[in-house]
Amino acid sequence: MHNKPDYIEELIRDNREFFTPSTLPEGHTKRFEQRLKKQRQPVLKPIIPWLTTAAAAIVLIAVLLPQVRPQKGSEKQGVLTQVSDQYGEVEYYFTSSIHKSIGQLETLLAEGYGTSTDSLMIQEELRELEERHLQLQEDLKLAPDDERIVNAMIEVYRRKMDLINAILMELQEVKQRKNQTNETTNL
Amino acid sequence: MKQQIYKWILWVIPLFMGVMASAQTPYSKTYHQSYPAAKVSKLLLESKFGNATLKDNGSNTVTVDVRVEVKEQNEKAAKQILDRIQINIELSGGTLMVETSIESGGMSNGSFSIEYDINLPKNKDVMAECKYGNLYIDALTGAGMFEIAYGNISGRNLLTKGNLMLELAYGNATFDNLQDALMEVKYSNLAVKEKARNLVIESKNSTVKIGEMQELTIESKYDDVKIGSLDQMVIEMGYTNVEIGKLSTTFVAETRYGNINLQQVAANFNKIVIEGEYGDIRLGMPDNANYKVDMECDYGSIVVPEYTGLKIEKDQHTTHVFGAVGTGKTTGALVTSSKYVNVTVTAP
Repeated sequence: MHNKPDYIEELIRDNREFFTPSTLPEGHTKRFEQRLKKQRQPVLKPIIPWLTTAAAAIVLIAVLLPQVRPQKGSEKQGVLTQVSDQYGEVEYYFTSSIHKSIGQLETLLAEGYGTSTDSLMIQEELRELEERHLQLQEDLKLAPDDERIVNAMIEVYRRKMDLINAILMELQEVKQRKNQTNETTNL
Repeated sequence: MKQQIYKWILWVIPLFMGVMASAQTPYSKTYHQSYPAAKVSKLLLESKFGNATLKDNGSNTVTVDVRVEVKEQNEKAAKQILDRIQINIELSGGTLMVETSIESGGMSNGSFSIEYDINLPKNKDVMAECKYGNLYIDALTGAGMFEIAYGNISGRNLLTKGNLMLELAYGNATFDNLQDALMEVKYSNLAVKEKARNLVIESKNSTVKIGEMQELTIESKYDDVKIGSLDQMVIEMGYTNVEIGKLSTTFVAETRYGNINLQQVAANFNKIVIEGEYGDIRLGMPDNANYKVDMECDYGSIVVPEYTGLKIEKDQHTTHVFGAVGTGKTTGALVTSSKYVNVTVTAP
């Protein structure tokens, strides 16, 4: 399949700086080629499931939560409050909803659903979203109150909430699926 | 009494209209530059808070027209805003630069807009960075490198020869036809309405919709991927749902927490290889094809139609389905390895 588009590899190689280091990992195309060639290979095997789960929970609680939990006494002191009270309310809604979902996510990870890979993925996503927010705050200094920037900030919040909820739903489904499997096995 | 009310209305309405007119009166400034097309090899566009349109009107002149408009009632404030916005247009060594410079401070809510109209032959190279605005490109056969954030990019035919790059965040990308592109799509929507050829995509938290796809390599997280018809695809996916209308040749996937739905697989398909953890896989396999099957699942299920005559072995946690479908020489292979996945094979 990938004998033909050698130029894509060349493009990646020649223009690597165009992308951030995390976007197209080294050997990206080759890994895909190899997958085409191989017929079957075992999927990821968690060696010590309880250990990876515990690590996942610890990583998530320790690293992620401070980023999204609204601070006591400053819950309405977000950046958008400076634009208007209404935007401040919107911001508060998102930060508190995200906080709530993160709490549920913590519980699921602590119960053993999800792996350390999952929590690292989430961590990476939220870190990136945080960077976006900081950049937007800088842009807001350039044009205070500009609706385009305010809307972008709200969009980042919305996406952050959607992301956490999507992961939450998947892990809830994993929980359901594992419970069903256990029930079937017990029967 | 009635007459008094009418008089009042007659006075107030024109006054109100006048105020409205002055509120809508824009203060503006424009820029215009033109160059012989032969002297321009590349366009470098940096657009902020504006809408840019790139078109090829067939002439041998490259033109740049920019209009900055401020919707501000107060003339002094409007002029201050206009003064803070500068558009630099410069041709240097074959590179035409169109840059937007905005001094920080004191601009009121959504009070200005910038429109860029650029006429450029489609075979020229384009590098564009657009933020908080939209970019439209009618056609492109030269190289393209686009960085779009909090805005949209759209175009008709972006048919470059292996040198198109797009970095899109928090926006929409919509094209009629697209080929040979390397794309990074985050928190966005990407749509190719008609045909796409040879795409390499890294996407996150996005939707990817393609009408007719020839060859696609994609690393996808938290996405929805929908393709009408597909020739070949390799995907590494997490928390992503994939739906393919028709698959012609090859589909290779590694999936976690996602669903795969191949609605209709062609009789002469070559290979379907899927490794997965958690999720559902549905495969609409042809009933007139000859192919080998090797499917294994831990803590999940595999359902295959009876007509296939495949062997099914089950122990406590594992299901293994294997054999050959069809009576002729096998030309295709269906291989899956999964855990906590329900695999359903159906007839088309």
